[in-house]
Amino acid sequence: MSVKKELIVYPDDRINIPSTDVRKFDETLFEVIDMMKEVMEENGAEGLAAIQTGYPYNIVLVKEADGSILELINPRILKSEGLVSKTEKTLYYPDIEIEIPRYETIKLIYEDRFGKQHHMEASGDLARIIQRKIDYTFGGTFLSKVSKERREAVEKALAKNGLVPEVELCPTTSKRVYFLSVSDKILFFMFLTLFAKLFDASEETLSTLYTFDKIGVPLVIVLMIGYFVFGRWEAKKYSSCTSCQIGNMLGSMAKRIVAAAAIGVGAYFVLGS
Amino acid sequence: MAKVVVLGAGVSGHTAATFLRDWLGPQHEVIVVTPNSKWNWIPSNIWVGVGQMTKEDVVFDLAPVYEKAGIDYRQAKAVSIHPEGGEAEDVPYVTIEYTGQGKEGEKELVAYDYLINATGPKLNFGATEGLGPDNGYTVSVCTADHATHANEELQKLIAKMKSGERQKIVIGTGHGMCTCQGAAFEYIFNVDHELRKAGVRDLAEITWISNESFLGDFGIGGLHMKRGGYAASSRLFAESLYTERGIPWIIGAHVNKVEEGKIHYEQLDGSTGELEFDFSMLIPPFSGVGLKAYAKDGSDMTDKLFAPNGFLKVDADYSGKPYEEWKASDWPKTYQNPDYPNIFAVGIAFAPPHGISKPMKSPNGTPINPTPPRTGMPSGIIGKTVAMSIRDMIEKNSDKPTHHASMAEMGAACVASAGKGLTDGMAASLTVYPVVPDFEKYPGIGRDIDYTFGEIGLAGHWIKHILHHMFIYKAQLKPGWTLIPE
Ligand SMILES: Cc1cc2nc3c(=O)[nH]c(=O)nc-3n(C[C@H](O)[C@H](O)[C@H](O)COP(=O)(O)OP(=O)(O)OC[C@H]3O[C@@H](n4cnc5c(N)ncnc54)[C@H](O)[C@@H]3O)c2cc1C
Repeated sequence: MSVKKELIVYPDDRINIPSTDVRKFDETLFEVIDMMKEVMEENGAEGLAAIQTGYPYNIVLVKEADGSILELINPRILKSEGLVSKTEKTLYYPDIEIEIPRYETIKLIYEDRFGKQHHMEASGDLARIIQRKIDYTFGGTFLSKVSKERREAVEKALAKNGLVPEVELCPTTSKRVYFLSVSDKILFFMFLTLFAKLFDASEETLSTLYTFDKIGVPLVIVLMIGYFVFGRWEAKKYSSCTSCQIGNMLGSMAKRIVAAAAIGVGAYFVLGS
Repeated sequence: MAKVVVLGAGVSGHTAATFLRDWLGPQHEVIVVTPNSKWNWIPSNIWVGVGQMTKEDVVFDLAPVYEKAGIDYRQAKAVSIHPEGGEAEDVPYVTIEYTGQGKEGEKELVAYDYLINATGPKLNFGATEGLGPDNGYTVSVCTADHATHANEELQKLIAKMKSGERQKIVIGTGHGMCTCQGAAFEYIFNVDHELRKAGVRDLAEITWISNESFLGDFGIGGLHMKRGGYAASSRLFAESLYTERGIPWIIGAHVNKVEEGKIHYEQLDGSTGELEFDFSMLIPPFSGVGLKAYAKDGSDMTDKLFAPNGFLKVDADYSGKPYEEWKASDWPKTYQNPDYPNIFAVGIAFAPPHGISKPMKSPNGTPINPTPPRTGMPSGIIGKTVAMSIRDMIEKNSDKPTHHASMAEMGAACVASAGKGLTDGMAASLTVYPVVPDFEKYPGIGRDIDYTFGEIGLAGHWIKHILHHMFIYKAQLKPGWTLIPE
């Protein structure tokens, strides 16, 4: 079998595929490792995880100080010490540099290409690269290590540069889904109110919750009508989308109206009595 | 007339017995043999362990429930199984020893046509010197009484912190071959939450220690949470959670000895270490409860019926294959014993064919990896499945089990509490499908990511609280109990 050579760069959802442990230490593994080494060389990389080449296997290669390449199969970090932040670059996001907190020293175990277990300690830049590459094998990029706000800001900035994830023909986030989302949230909280008695809530709280439910039922119905009207208008713009078809929309409406009615009746018996 | 004997009234045994009683006609007998007088919703023991619930909130008396249902309840522990009968008896039977009902210590023979072993785990504190609340220095939350004791110790600790003393807390697993990391995970975050509420978190140094080779393994090789079109590992989620709460972790660790205030451990790289503690909750390893089995002539055949770890052998592949050859089809489907077709084992009591997480050893040869968990939902589903098969074998004269429930075809949902409180509670809701990865059906991680989901927040806590009431309601066989899923 010959393996395909590729380097995954942003935007490509495959980077989030969690890798599986290597279970067979055979020729295919050797071929993937060789291919990865070529990719490293061609891109002047300090390290590479197999998933960066599209192979979801737990394989990490890192360049050591003397230029030789260390092969880490199924690596696991057992101990880490001393969190330090430093600016990092990675092949997956060729255009960004970002400050990432990582451990200064780590202790890890790994297997070699023949399946024999080894252990090692690493510190400084080597430790940093190993941590970044191991994150890839678990389905994370270096943006998994920063706050949500930071990550979103970076993704927005990338999008501004024209680097947006592939757009589907059919918009997945049409505005009409907001109607559904708001109704779902109202329905969810209405559903929870049915269990309020289990939490020993006071009479006063119970009556407030009942009022919430009483407002919730007609509100969901109004939202559903809004959803339908808006959805029909939107459907004219995207005539190819099956999700905009009347049948689908009626189904979504009916489900929520029935749920609102059922919870309303439930609330009448549980909270209203 | 058929006689079904169920050993153990925990999650799986209680489910099997109550459904069988519901389905079988009154001419058939359902007997439950269990040493406990109360049923315990074990997952809520976590909240007992931090003082947010009392023992009474998580248990109820079995006798009235069984009486109402028409189940013959013997408060006794099973001692041995005689699948071929004995020298004087022609029918198979079990020997039991009473622990209550005014007959403490009395022995009895109970004959059966069908036997379900649902005896769960023996909490094997003895595997690690100094482990456990009875003969050691660590607390446990595995039973309601243990959890009550854990809370007493925790409150003493909080009092010390309130007077300004710094305290060290270690929570995790107490042996290299433990399962149930999820319970320790819940406990560490509930303790953290309580300390924050008490305003003493800054005086506590909390450390996690476990036999997982990565944080978030949970004994099932990790979970995956959908993100974008793909799934990200529970390791990333767990690491950020621990970091956020200021909890360092030691993993790939086998605790080999506990002394007063000190834990000794060995890690997967062969190195050893020590951890000091003022308060420590370590989950013990599980083994079978130690039932014996005898042939008709009275000779010991425990090895034939039970695996070396004491769990009962069922229709699994016990050939001891290497990791690279593990397959979904190794896992049992009917839970029927291959030698004695009228014996079944459900829940934790059945012997798994092998692990789910990657097997690992330190260079010194010490095995350090989670053993496969059989959590509440699979235990309940397996109990009900076996009950369906036995019902059909009795009523429809089926010569083999009619229902299947392989853990490689079954999903599990788990809501792991990370703190209790109506407005500031938190829990991680996770689903995984299938529990045992099927590498042939789902190449790569072996799981279907469309059914794999993870989220952490307040809503999860509410769900966990609702589940507590729902399952106790169901177990008490109150109206509509059969409609509540396992
Ligand atoms: C602290 C803790 C928290 C947990 N939290 C969760 C959770 O949040 N979600 C989840 O899904 N799972 C959870 N679990 C796991 C869950 O409790 C188990 O999966 C489940 O209880 C297993 O059911 P079982 O019937 O096999 O065993 P058990 O429920 O343990 O029942 C075994 C029964 O057998 C009886 N018995 C023992 N010896 C004998 C004998 N010799 N003869 C007769 N009877 C005997 C016992 O008294 C007991 O009644 C948790 C476990 C623990 C310890």
